[in-house]
Amino acid sequence: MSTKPFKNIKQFENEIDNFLSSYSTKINEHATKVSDFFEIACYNYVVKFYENQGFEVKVKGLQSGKFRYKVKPTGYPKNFSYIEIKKTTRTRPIIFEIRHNIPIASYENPSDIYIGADIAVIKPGAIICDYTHKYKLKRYKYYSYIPNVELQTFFEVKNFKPSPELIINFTGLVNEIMPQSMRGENPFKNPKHLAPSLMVSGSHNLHTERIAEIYSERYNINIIVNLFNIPAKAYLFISELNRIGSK
Amino acid sequence: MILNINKNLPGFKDRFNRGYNNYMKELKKLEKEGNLAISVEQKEILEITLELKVLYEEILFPLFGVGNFYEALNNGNSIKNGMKTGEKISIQINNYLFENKQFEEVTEIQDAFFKMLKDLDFPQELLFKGSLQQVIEVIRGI
Repeated sequence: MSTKPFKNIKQFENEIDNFLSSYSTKINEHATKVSDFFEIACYNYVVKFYENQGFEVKVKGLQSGKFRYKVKPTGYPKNFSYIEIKKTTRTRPIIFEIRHNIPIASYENPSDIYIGADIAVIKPGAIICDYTHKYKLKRYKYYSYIPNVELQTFFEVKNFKPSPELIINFTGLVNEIMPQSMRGENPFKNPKHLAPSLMVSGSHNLHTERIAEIYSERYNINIIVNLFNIPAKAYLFISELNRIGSK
Repeated sequence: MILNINKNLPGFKDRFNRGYNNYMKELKKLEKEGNLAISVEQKEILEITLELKVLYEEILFPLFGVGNFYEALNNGNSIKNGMKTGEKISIQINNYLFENKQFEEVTEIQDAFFKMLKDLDFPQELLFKGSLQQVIEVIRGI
């Protein structure tokens, strides 16, 4: 085996092809789930962020020993698992839930507009199950959503290369469910959460990098890219990222 | 393309091509503008590196990511009510189950992948470099 791939390109290619041949069957078995895996990887980074901030992590809602991940906004939340985070301060314990794919009520029109963010940090027990909601479908018993006032922050996950359109669309989402972040206001006194964040797998080009810089200054949001560079970037969520909360 | 990624991983063809074409588009633009400034051999290295990078970014990284979450769920730091000692939590996504068997497979792939890079003296930083320009800068130094 060559130990200097750049001196022998052919050998380098062969080694990689051998790796691919050896593991192709196992890797191919996961092909249809890779987008979900990416979202779960990001969910894990959010949990790790709070763990690094001193929160205790509790796995909740296990379904017969399984962590059932909610990949779509449909389905009853009680049938899915989530992580509860808890931090004990001098005065009282602070508890939040880290949920995934549950509709969130709009800030301006909470009875009419609901948007499913991929990951949301909310107050405990905040999910409403409304049996008479106008958007309840016949096949469901109730419509579930997170009231806007219970939302602390949220994360939108995209396994793409960032584009101007992707970043601008994200600001529309923030404007609908956390417009305070668009105005640079601090909605809570709670421990500092990360500001609403777009988590993108791919890396910037010059144009998207500039848009992200401008938007991170203009608004209280984060555009986190290049998530492959773990743990330096996403795992510890470096201090230059925008936060909300004043304590 | 130089490596046989599409042949070996047909289920990932669209995903791989999407990531690869993005890099190629950017590379061609740099070439057209006369800003590439690398030798023919370095360009071949760059192309293989980009293929390997897309393999990691689009396919292996999410796979390793779900493995990391499985590990985090089952480590001693998190509180898990109702679980017996030694019992493992699996991850359910619709009807798909990621459990110990899958975790062991992913760990094996992860170990083999990074061992291969080490054996090849492949600078791992190239996988984590954010932009094509940064990758080119490293390759220029080879």
